[in-house]
Amino acid sequence: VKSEREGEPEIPREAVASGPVSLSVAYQRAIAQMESLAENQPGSDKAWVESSLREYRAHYARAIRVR
Amino acid sequence: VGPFEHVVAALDGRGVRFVVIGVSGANYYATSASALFVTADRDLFLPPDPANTLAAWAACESVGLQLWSGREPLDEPRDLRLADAVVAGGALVRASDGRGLDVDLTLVKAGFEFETIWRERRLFRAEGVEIPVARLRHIVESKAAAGRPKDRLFLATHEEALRTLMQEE
Repeated sequence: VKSEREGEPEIPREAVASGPVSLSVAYQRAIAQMESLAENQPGSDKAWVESSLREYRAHYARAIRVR
Repeated sequence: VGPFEHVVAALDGRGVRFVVIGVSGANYYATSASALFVTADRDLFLPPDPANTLAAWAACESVGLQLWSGREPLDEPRDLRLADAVVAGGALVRASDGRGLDVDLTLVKAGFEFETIWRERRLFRAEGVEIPVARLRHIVESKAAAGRPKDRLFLATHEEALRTLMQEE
């Protein structure tokens, strides 16, 4: 599980540009491949997505500082 | 049934048209838990239709979510007149259980009209519920069009993850 904010500490917010981004051909190809996977076809069972995120949050909610 | 699936079932039960977008939508295309992005909210894209918006509010309230507009509770009465104003302004309403489930009801998606996203949505299943999710291509293209710093950070991480995964396969 990756954090949406992963990588953010190394890139100061004020240094990050904003505005439309061009997608590379390789990225677009990878997206098309990802959409074409058997497990991403309509009707696929995705119950694991929400349950994994719940487990992740519960795991870190239980964390305690030890020093 | 998990909390989010419960919300989706309530929306479906009232005939609400919506599509899951954003990072929460992209997660449905992940191939393993290690490829998921943790995000605090679920983004639902709704058409600019006051009656549909009103039905979405009612569905969220029926499962115990509170409605917010910015930091304030959504005005009352929550009727068609208010829904008209929200749709006209393209305002975002958040439905929250206050315990970590935040569902953003958005009427605006950079670069796309609702009907385009709706026509090509994919219906996935989760715990007996059908979840309408925008195409991954649409989610990524919308983030590219918006180009906010957080979108750029997501795109950089997502591209790297996808390209690595495809090379492995």
